[in-house]
Amino acid sequence: MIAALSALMLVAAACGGDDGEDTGGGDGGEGGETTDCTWKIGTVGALSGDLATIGQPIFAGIEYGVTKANEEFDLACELVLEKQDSQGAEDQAPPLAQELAQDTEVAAIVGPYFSGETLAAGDIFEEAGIPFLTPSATNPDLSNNGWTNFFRLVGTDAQQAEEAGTYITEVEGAKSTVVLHDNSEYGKPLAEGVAEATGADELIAINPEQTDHSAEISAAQDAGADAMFFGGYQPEFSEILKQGTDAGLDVLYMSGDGSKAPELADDPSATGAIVLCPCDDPSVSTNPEANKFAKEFEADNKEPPGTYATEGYDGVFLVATALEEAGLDADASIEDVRTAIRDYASSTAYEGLSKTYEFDDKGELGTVSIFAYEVDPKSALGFKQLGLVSELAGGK
Amino acid sequence: MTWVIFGLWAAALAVLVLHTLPSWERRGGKRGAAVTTVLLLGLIGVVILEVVDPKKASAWWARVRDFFQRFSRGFDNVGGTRFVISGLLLASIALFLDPGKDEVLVRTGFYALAALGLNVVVGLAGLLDLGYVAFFMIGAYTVGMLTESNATVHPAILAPWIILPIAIGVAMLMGLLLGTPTLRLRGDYLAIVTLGFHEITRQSAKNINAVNGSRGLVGIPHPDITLAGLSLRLAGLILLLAGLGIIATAWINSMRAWRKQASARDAHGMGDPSPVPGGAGSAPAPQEGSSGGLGGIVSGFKGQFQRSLLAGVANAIALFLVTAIGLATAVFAITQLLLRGDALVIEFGVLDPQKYWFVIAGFMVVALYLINQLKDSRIGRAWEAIREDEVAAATMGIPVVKYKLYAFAIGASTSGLAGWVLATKVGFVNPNTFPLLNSILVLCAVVIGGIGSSVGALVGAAVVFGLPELLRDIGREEIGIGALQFNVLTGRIAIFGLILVVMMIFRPGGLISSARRRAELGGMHDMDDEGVTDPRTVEARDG
Amino acid sequence: MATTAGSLNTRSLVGYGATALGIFVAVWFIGSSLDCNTNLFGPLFVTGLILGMIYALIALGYTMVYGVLKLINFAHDGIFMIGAASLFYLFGSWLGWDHPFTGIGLILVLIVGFIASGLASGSAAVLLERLAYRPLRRRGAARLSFLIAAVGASFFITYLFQQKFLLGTQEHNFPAIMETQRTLTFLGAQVNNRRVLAVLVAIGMFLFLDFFVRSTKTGRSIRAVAQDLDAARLMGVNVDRVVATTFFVGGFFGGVAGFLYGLVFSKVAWNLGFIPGIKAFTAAVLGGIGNIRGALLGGVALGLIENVSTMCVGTEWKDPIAFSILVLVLVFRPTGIMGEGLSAK
Repeated sequence: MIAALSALMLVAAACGGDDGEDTGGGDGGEGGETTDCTWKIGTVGALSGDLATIGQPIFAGIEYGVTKANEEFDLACELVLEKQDSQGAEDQAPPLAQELAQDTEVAAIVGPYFSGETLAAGDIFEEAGIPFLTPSATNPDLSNNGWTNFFRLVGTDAQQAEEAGTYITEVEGAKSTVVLHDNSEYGKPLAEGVAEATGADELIAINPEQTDHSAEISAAQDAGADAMFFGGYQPEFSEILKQGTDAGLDVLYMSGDGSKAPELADDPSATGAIVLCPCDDPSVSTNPEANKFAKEFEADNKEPPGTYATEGYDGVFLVATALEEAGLDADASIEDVRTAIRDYASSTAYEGLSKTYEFDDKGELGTVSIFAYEVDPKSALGFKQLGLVSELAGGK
Repeated sequence: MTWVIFGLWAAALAVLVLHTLPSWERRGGKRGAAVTTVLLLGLIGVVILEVVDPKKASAWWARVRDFFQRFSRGFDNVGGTRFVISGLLLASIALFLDPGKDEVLVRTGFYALAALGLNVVVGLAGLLDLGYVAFFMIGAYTVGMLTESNATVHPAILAPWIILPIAIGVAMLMGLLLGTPTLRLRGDYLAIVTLGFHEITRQSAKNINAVNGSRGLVGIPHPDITLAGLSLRLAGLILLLAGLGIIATAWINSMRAWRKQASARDAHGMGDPSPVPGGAGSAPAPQEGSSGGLGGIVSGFKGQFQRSLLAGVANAIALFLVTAIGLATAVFAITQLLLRGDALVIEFGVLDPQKYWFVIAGFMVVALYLINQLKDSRIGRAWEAIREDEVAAATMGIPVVKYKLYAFAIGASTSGLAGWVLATKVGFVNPNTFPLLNSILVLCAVVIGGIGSSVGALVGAAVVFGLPELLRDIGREEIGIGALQFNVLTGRIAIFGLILVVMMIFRPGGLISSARRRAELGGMHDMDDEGVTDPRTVEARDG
Repeated sequence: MATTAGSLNTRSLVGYGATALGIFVAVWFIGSSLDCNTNLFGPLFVTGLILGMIYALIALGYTMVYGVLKLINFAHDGIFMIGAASLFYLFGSWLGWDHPFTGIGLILVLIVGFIASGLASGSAAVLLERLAYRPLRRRGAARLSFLIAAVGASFFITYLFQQKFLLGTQEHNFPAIMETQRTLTFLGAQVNNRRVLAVLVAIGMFLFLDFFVRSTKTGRSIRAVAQDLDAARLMGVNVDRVVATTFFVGGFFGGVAGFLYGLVFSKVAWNLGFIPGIKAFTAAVLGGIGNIRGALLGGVALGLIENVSTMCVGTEWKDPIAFSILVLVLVFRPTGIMGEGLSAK
């Protein structure tokens, strides 16, 4: 009897079994010369679901990076993008990571995008020995897991929280701050950091699955603060903005990089809110290369590069550069390929579009620039860059 | 045991279809030829057994059907060992898969294991539990809390295998704690209480810092096994005894069945000369004859020559298979464990999910065996009585709440066990690993497979948790015309929801159902052609 | 409403008033004795009241269906969401009414919204009954079958709307038909016009339903069916029609609740109904499922408890508290505060 089930499981698993080889060519990098071998660049993140607003721009950057890398580099094998959609959920990331880990053509991962899923999937990549470069997971604790394959292409929330404190107290001159968070692996530590930096004594947790945050807003109102920071993602920040302004909570609304999605600007209540991000807007960057990238990207994708698209692009190019420098040929074993990438990343300072990537032994960048953005529906992608937080604070 | 055969065939069918469908030209040749043969045979077998009605079929077709049934019956005669065979069959699935894709199987396995337990709660005892995955979570968290990687919050540091009984125990305890006050409630209230319980558990885990809040538990060790010295010998000895035991039970059972048949033939004398063997299948009822004797064999020989020959051949094949398995186990035990000097280390790494599947298959078989035993025990009958009419059962002196608690505890502990496997496999758990949706999906698995049927629960889990991955992997995520694109992956829940409704209306018993259960869920009108003697229910008893 | 005979008499009003006062005092007392921020009591009380009214409106759908069929209609959360979604399409996509209205225009838009959302959800509920539950009823299926079908229907509706061709996975803004104005300050809470509207509509609908069930012919037949389905059939009541009417009324209320919910929180999403659905169900059970007054009382009680309690414990404990209350109520008083039954108390 039992075996009947086996049948169906087999069904599922078996068919799963095939795509490794079948769909390889279809996903990405069509450009470039004809090579009969492939090196896959895996990516795991929220490509659908309510957090896709944050995941999709990153993916677009990575996808564009793979296409460009195939054109610009002369590699022995073609780079192919292998995407896995985790919807940003911790329960979905491990099996997807596992699939990538067991794929013997995967050279490196550019992802996962969120802190929670990175924590969930990190052990798997680490055990499989695949370098994984996250373009956007900012939880500071991630680098304390002893992962040798982990590289973070952005600054951590610890830095972001500190700069948020600077921004709130020095730039805006707010006297007291109330801090909310979404009780997630990303939002909570960020909020705790901000509370510490601003001296806010209380953290208010919201439930992201709920629509109604009235009780939390009441508590925030009672705190009598003139600034409010929210640690969490855009959909919840939008709700808080709407309900907060509805309830007459007139404060400076602020959030972190998780809220920097164009959809935030859809509702008028968000206009004027401040979002911090350890990411530069390539179109206004001081780096001419980045400006060029922004123009080309927009020409090709009919949309300017979104949040962390540049970091995703840089991640792919870092991998491609590592492969080129190592001069690996088509016969190189996948272990060699992965080692080459790991060694390159940990030993060389790579000059990327958004910054120079020089990792310490935990895979961290050290100090990075944090930028302030203002929600502005008229700007492209809904945000206007105000500038570096440190400079804004210095100017005051 | 008919279903073992079914399963084998269906499995072969699945392998072929799925391996060739996405890339017909490239893969067809590899395993195609061998599999196609099995597939065709299987297809024929399934069609015959399921579709051909012996009453209406021509004598020839009925005879073919009889052959297939006899063959599968052969497995029954080898007794409890069929669970061993089932286990090996289950375990062997992983061997056919490409590396990297067995992961889907393992993942389906967690929930299939959980579904087995939920089937006891929903199917056998008739209690609707919508928060079942809460126990799954409790099991997984128990593992996380008791391993050294989470030393800041742990009460003790233990090895995963030692935690196994603890995880099961804790989940069971929670089941009892929740069940004691709430099982007095009516069914629909229980549903909502369990739903609430899931959310309470999950949200609390998010908020309590002692379990790391929303961060969850990281770096849970894999359940590696190291056998050295005495324990190696002990394991070898146990395995050796198991192997010999398998052979012994198979032969004893077979002999007993043989003798029974002989005596039946004796009792019924000439047998029936009808060319169509048996009404609903091979009619085991007359075999319950009284006296035995050599004369019976002789007299039955003429009329039933063909049938006994078929049965004999089927029995012999089954017996041969089981003996071979037993011998292989024994030889393995002697050569690998008893005679081996150094230690035996089995490591469960990330890159070989197969081993986890073997563990899961093992647990499944144990669960199947125990549940099967329970089903026909006094407890099982009490469950049935409660399910059908609680008031009547209570009137008859059945301690209703006590038996409901049993079901609840068994369900919870199975779920906890599945949680143990998930935690040690993935190495990471946090509250978001166990969304409420999973509770509903496990319920879907139980219902779709067939309420009350253990095998059904497994099939259901394969459909609910495995099939969507399949669709994801063939890249046919969206079906539809124009703007009406239906995303199968995200929309699978919509489809399962629809299936649940449709199933309750048209086939309340599920894909694989017992006639008894179907009659009950569907009301009396549905008891039409199924008759009273479902061969499977008879089977279950003489196992 | 619950009682068969004339019900809104002075005695019961005094009784309710006393109960409410008692709860108020008790909560305030417990709040001040614990380490609680009593400043928050006023705003949270108001918030709880408003949310509680919306819960009560949704709870009506559960309660009416339960009263008549003894079935927990799990799919009601989907029906609720359809109410909000229908207006998202009607106002947002088809009519282009995505800007604030004032004066008569606003009243007309609100009336259109009220009727459209109610009709959409009401007909969805009737359709659901016709397609899913009636076949089961015809067959005299087991209770478990009903429950499973209801769970299935709920997930079907919800996840169907999650598809790209309907709402998709992202959240949408509810058509901004109303300018937000903070109309009054009550107990230290600023209440805006949308919330006032929601409460007024909810109260109006409850009064109407009370009248409808008590005094109209259809209402009487609903009560008759609730009391004894077979007897009602024998007495010549068209049971199928009555059941369909019940579903329609319950669905209508759910749809209007969806409209109000979308308006108050200016949000439409595929999973809009999920948490309010569970909460409303809790409210229905709290008050005594099958009892219309119980739904109102339960809704308000739940809204108050979960909101006011946050002044003593962190807001993250809001949901666990709400569900714990559900479990406790069911364990200690399974028939709810006011007892079960549409037909009689």
